[in-house]
Amino acid sequence: MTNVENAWLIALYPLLSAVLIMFFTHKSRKISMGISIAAVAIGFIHSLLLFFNFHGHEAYEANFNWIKAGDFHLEIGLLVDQLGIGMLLTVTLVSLLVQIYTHGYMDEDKGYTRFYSYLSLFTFSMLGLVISTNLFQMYFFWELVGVCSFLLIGFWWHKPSAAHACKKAFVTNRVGDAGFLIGLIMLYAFTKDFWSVDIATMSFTKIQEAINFAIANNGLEVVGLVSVTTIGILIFMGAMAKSAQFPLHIWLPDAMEGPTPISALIHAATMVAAGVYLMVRVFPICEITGSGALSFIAWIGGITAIFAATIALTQNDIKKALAYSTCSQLGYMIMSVGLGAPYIAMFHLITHAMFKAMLFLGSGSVILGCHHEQDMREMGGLRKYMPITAITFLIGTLSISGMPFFSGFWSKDMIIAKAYEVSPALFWIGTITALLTAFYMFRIYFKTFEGEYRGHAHPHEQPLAVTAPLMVLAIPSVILGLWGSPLMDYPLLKYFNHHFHAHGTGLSFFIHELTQPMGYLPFLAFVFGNLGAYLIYVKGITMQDKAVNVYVKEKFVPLYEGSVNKWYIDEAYEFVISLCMSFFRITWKFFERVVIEGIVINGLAWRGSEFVGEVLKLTQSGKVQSYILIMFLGLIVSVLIFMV
Amino acid sequence: MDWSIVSKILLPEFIVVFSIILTILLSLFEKTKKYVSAVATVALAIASFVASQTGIGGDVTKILNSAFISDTLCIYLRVLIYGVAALIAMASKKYLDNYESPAEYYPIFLSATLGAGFLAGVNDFLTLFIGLETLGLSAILLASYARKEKKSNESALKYLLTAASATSLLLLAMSFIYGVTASTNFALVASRVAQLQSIGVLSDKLEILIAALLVAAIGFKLAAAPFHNWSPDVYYGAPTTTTLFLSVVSKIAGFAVAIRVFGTVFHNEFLLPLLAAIAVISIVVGNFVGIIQVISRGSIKKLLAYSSIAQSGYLLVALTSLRLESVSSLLLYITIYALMNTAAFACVIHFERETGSDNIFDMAGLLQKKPMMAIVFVIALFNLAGLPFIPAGFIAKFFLFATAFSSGITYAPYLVIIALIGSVVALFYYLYVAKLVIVDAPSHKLQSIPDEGPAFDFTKLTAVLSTALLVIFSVWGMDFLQGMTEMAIYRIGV
Repeated sequence: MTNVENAWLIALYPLLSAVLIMFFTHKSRKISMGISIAAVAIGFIHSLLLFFNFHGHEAYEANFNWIKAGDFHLEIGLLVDQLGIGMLLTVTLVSLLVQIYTHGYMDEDKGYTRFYSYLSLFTFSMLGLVISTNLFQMYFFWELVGVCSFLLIGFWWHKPSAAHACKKAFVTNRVGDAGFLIGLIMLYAFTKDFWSVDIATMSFTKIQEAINFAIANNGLEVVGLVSVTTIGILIFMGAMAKSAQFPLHIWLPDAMEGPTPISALIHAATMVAAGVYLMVRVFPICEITGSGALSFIAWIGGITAIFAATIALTQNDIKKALAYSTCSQLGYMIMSVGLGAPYIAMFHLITHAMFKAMLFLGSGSVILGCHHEQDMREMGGLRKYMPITAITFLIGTLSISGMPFFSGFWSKDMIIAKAYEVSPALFWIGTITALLTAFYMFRIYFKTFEGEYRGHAHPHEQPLAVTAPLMVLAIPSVILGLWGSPLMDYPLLKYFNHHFHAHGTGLSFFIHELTQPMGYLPFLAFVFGNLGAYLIYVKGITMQDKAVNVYVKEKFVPLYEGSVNKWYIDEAYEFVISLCMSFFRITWKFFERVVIEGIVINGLAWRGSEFVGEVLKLTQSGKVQSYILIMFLGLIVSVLIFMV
Repeated sequence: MDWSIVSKILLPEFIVVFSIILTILLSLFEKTKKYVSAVATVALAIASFVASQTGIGGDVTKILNSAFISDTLCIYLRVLIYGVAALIAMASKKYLDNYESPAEYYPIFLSATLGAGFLAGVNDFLTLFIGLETLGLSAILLASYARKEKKSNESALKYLLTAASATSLLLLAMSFIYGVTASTNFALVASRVAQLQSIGVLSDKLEILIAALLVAAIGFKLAAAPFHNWSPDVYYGAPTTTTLFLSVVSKIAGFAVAIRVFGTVFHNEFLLPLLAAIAVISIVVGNFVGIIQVISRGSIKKLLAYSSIAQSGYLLVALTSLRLESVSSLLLYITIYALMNTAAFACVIHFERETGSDNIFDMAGLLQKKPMMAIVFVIALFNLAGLPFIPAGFIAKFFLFATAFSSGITYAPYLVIIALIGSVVALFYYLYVAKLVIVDAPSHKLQSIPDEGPAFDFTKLTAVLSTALLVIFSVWGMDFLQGMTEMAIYRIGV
């Protein structure tokens, strides 16, 4: 069972549990929960065994013919390499903990078993995405995770805001996926001859050869309207939507309408990271010399990182603030891919999955404790009432802000250090974002857990089912990063990439690095961000007799309002869409009223219409005339276009 | 004329004609009425099977004074048309029991199918006309079948009036063609037009006019925009079984005519831009207005009508390149389309029968009340949307667009991009309905129907059967189907 050939079972267990729950055990809460948790627990153990047993340098790949039609053939298969195992472990671990947590969180919900079946279904799709061997298979699971996310955001369908949020998530993701699909078709059209019978179509392991083949033989250009660059950018569009990159990030904060376990599992740790995983897999396409895709990706990532961080500064809803923080961190990962370091992106993906899942679960615990209150202005001082939640939340905050030796410190600073080598502008963006991150994360922590309680509920600590996952996740949030650090000679990065080469290793190298700008600037960002939040939200220092945050709010109205209102991106979208729609509507009205009814019916054909009108009294709308007229107009226009 | 060959080739049609007579006779007597639907279904199924056996060594055979041609394309399309019609006949039984004299529906249904089947092999403008009218007039009767319902009468009248205009366009085109070539036979027309074109006698203006008239007349049958306006109203008002017939069988017949006329008989440089234009307009109208339908709490039948307008647009994208490869991908897609649309409509028929409503919002929570139907319905919607779960619809769409993309025609890539953007928009409304069905709580309409437990029902059987075929094609039958469509274009005669 521990053979690598059986790794597909990891994805199969949750599927079985989803089917079982949906069709057989949905009446019993206990059995459904047991099946669901057991399935993913077995998957986690299986992934661990895989981790310890798989040491090959070559990826293991097995393909089965799925669809064969003429020259076109499609395989479904299993790809196991270090990258995949890393993802498998992350997904199964987070999913396992979230499912345990769900038992505590959803206990009073009517849709308890349905929720478990969706969770299992999602876990299956995500694991299927991870073990995909080719782009088509990945696209398949890509859509499936999208649909699961759609179903789960709208889980509380009776809330209008949830219904709206799931619509928005869906539409935004469609935009990205359209780009992805066009990229896929373009890529396939150029590399069609390369995928002979014994090469799986679009397999990740051969994608680099295929691209080189297309450039050499099929006249695929590197830069241009139809080129390697465009293919890279189009595929990246899919990642932009899934991983909430600017300007397609708008759905993620709204997706927080879903139950908190979903926010933790799908919208913080796993699905949103799928975009990063996709980019790591198709990195060879973007990497081709001369292609502009990488710098595009890096800049989108950088812009998202800083942009989302500025919004997170002013949000009062604890989950929304965390959602913008997720956006910003995903921006770091995407930036890292764009800087040519996909393995560092994977490193940050994994550490981020741990601490961000923990932060979300912690926020869920707070929300439960305050009787479904999400507004941080109604919280405060919760550390006294909920000590376990507070301590784990603090650990997560320290980790994400870049507290030295915590997980987030190693992975984030490595990205910033990489930016220092490649692009100074992105380095500064990364550093400033780190400063903002430290500030807004501590703002959340202080507002929620320190000071006096401002709400009206009776906060209380949560049962073990809720707190145990928090405590478990706290461990990797602190120590996991060490395996990617110079102190231990980068075992994790070397695991992902056998050719990983670092400038140096060991404690002395680490101290040397700290004396360089790329070392001390992010550290200073952490210190000052932290200190700023402390002074403002705990000490309450004043400026001209006003608390600093109030002072800023009053002095810099446009900036503050901009941040609170998410820089009006939603409004901008709405404006453009409504502009298009009203243009469409007005032209149509004009066409219908003036041209058809006015000129044609009333003008030319009034005698005829008297007769037809008699007949049409039977009908409701009496619009058959216009139907026929549109038909004839279509005909006349098409004739005229060519004749004139 | 060798009657043995004629009777061999037209055997499926003879079977259908025989079943028309038989169903009329059976519907006369109270006792035998209930067998009518079974007779129709079995006869069509047999006709479909027999049609597959009519090929004589893959040869092209012309019969009836070259008015009918039997080639591989004709065989494929007839098998498809009769097969799907059999499925629809099966789905109709229980639904029609609501109406007075349900049995008389079938003779008309069968003659409409006969017209459609005949169109698969037309080789003369006169037989083309006869086939189209047999199909069209019977379809009008089918649309008006719910005599006591106002909306059914209205839809039939609308269909009649618009169809009459379309027919006049076709006749005009035919008379021009006859005027130019002094023939109505496809082969003669094709060779004479080519002759005239080569010596430069045929004026451009006349060619444009004929092309535009043909596109309009055939575009009407395909419900392609801007010749589509009738379809949402007619689809909405007609009995749902008729809607299903119109959206599947009638559309396949329309494409059969389009492939023949545009592919082999009459083509010039003006035709392809025209087809491309109506493809784009269909995609835009079909998808964007579909959304408005969802927003304004419309009928699921209207929604599916817009969806089928958009699907016509996708199919027309393949037609614009008019290469053999793309015809093959068109046939593949239309086959899958027939199955998924049949499955979706069968669910609607079942739902409408149980609740008496066709409102989208009344379908909310179907999963909890009728899990089987809900799953079938959602699979059909996913396929129509081109989502890759049970990926027959996705693969077929991918083929369609990939062959168009690499067809070498300059504007083909843009068409594909427009089509993809359109299908993105469409996904929204398909999945909105899917979400209603899966996630939401049952509507009042659904809650009010009694729990009967799983009862056998032929409408359900149709739905399940078409979905099963989709699953089979998704999992291992795609190669077979693709082989069949390639065989279908192996010899297209003129």
